[in-house]
Amino acid sequence: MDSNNIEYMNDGSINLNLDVKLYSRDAILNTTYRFTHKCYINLQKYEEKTALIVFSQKNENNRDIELLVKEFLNELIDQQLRVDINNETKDIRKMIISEAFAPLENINESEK
Amino acid sequence: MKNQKKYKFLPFNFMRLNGSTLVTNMGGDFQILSNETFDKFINYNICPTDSIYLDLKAKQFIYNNSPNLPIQLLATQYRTKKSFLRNFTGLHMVVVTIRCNQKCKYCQVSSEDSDANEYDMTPETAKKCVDLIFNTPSPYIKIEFQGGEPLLNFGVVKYIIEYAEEQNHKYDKKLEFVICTNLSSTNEEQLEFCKIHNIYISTSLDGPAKIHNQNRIMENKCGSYKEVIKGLQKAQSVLGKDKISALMTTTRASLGKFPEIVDEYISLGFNSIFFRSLNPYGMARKYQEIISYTTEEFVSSYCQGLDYIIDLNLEGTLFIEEYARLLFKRILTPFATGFVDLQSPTGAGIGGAIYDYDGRVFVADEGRMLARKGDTQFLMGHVDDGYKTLFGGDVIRQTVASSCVECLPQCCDCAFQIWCGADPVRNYTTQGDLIGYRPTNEFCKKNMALIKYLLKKIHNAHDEVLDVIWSWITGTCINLNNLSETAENK
Amino acid sequence: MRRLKCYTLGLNKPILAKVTHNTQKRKLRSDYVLLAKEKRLGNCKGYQAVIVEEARAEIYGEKLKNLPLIVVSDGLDELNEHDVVQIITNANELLIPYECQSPHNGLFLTSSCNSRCVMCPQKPKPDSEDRVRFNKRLIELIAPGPEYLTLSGGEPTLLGEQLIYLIEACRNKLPQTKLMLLTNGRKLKEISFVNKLARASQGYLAVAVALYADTDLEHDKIVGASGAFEEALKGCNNLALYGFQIEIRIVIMELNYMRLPQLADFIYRNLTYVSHIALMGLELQELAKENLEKIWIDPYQYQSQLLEACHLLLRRGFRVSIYNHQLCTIPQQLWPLSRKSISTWKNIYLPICEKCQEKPNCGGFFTSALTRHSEHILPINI
Repeated sequence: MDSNNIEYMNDGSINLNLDVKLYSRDAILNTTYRFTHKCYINLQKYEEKTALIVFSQKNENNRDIELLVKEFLNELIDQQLRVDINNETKDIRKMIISEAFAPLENINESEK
Repeated sequence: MKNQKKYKFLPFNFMRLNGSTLVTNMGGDFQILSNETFDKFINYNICPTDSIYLDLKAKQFIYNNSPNLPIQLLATQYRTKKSFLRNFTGLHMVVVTIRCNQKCKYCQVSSEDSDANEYDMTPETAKKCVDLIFNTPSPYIKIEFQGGEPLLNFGVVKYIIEYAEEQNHKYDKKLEFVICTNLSSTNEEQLEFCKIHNIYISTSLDGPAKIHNQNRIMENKCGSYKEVIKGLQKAQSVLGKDKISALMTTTRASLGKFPEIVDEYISLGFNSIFFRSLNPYGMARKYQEIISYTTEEFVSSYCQGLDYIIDLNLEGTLFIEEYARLLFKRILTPFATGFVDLQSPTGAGIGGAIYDYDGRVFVADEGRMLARKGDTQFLMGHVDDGYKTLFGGDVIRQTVASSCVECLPQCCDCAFQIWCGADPVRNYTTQGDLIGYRPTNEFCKKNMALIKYLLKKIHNAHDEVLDVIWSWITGTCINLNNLSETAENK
Repeated sequence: MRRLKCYTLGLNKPILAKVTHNTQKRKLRSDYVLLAKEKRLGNCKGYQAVIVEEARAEIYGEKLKNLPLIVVSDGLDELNEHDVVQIITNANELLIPYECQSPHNGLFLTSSCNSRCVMCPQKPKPDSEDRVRFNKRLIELIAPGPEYLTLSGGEPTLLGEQLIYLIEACRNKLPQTKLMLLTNGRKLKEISFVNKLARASQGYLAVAVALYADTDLEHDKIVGASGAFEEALKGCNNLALYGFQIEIRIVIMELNYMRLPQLADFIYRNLTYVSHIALMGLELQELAKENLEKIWIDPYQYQSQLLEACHLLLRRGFRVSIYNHQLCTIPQQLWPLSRKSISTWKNIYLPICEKCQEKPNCGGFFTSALTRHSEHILPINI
């Protein structure tokens, strides 16, 4: 399977299969964090090709989770983008912080 | 497939707004992009000939050759934004008594009756507090007297001020005193003392009589409005209006009535207000249902109140809302702002500390309420323990370590990160741990909503509104149609 | 600098001296040239030379023995007591490197430059004479000195140690004079050099750094040197570390007027310590004249950008000045920011300006505006 896929289970829960080529573990976890107060989320496996996430309801209304899974997928896109940006910029971020807190060395050198 | 990259990214965060996308960087600079432009931006599709390309480059969102200059510029900006860290603890709140002559509905302190003298700080403890305070490396010390009603133990207030001034001959710090008083028991002698020692008064006023009296009640069960106004006018006439500010606390009674509250403040000679939301922690349960409200209700009242104040400014009345001023300054300027309740790392402990009447030292006010219930999470120690044990101890370290928005879940990639802060104490009291859980965090919800509103204000502002906003930030109002006067003033 | 046409008699070495109308003490005379207006001429022994107007040339010529005579055909009235004049041997020009009455005095330190700005009114070239020795002598002659003195070029920082030497000379001879160094800031990326500047100037030196855009893409293109933007910003930061008072100078041209507000914001965000910002009009000499079509923009066209940039800077608490502009070309609200910034000797007005009631307050034009000026020059009569 090479695309994302949603399965409706008999017990009312929803299985979401994700293509891990599209979504990294970090992006999935960051997204999950934003939904755990709305429904139960079970990240069952994260394997070579797919990840399986099971959503089940916290309250009565089952249609809620259908909607939540859709929102989850939307949020996942922005979260993956954040992971990508972070990957591209994390070295520079580190350099900025170390430069910011070590600024006056060269003054001392020139005073010597 | 990605196109050949026309530029590379510098670190940034983004947030979807209504129909557009906000991008912010480590220096606190920002740009609001249409969703379409944002898509082009993140797909490396903006061309050097587009003006937005130059905007993003000038604001250090992208670079094309060497990252050296952007790193230097962002490092300087970041250092400036975090420069509040340089000074360490400057605000020292001293609870000289927990006795009070009022029984306000939202009071967290569970204050004692006004004749229960065993709840007063002793001069011995007071001396130790001052000795401890002067250990701070901060060149600036603000001692704030809190209570209860601190003036009920005026002897110790007086002692601390005189002793601190004497000590300061040795330390030469910029020393400032504030007395937080309800002004309902103030006498001439106290005011004369305040005048001689150049002391600031911070009082509490929730609005006109019908609002104020619902919240703030004397021991005899009557509203305290009349007493406060009498005390306020006396204080203003002795000390001058600029020495006295007031705090308002929002309760259900004040929702939707912020304009009336502002009018009341103006008529009493104040030139600013701080629309403060209730801190539900520690409040008597029987009142909670009557006076509390949702974050959404507060935000909508706040926005209405802020609009009203900005309109007043446009009509020529100089009046400021302090929380908006703080946030505007964070959003629009490269500078740091000292405000212990919204800082990263937190200001609890390293920005301000509180000394209880019995000599116990806490990182924050709620800490002593928790301690009364047996939870000493925020107890740094006792004044007897010495500066290093208290301010270098585990409590302050743990509190600070758990309060960097740069690493807190969800905060770490929030576009408001550089303007916002963490409140580990609030997280602990409302959500059970220092880190908290952002999706249901009311502190987060409130600040997100307010910052979004202020951003919208800035983004849609006419020149005249921007003039008002900048006059709050700089303290000088620029009138473009009368520059000769402005220019001469400089 | 101001120049007067002249010819000389008996001159066999260059002259650099103060002008005097009065008889000076014998031992001081070697610093002076005597400006002879009276019919009678006393004993002039010891002066470097005597200046006369053409009509009297013959009368004096015979009386002076062994003393050079400088004959000026026109403009002698413009010479004031203690102005400094210079004559290079064989030249037929009397140069006036220092004018007591002018608010715009400066030391011209070098003609050479490490940038090649597209709108430079003074093409960089190697110095043909020893400018350092000349300026050292000039500093001695102008003592006790004016309130303000600019140090300009070319790029003065290229003198390196010799700039430090001249600043020290200023501090010694002109202790009351505030100095302003005009620079592209590039050499100031070397913090050790800024350190030396700070030691030599002891708080009496302000530095004006030229910045023309908010990105290296545009700034480097304008100044014709890659890396210049980065170097200038580094220079500014170094100056700030040593507590210098810093001014930013922006010349407005076709190549940068569109982003003036963004440049203003960039300065606020990155160079927060800057105390004064000068927005300047073009002077159309030399390179600027050669590149006229590339750089020219009618100031009337950038009114909205200028207004927005000034408004933005003023709100943020900067001092802002507009140099080299005519009041009729800038928005009326900004008139209070306009300064009469053009050196008196090259400051002109057009015939049409005679009808303008604001002329006394107007910055006017450079003489070079005769090449091109705004199409919106109109007398103001409110």
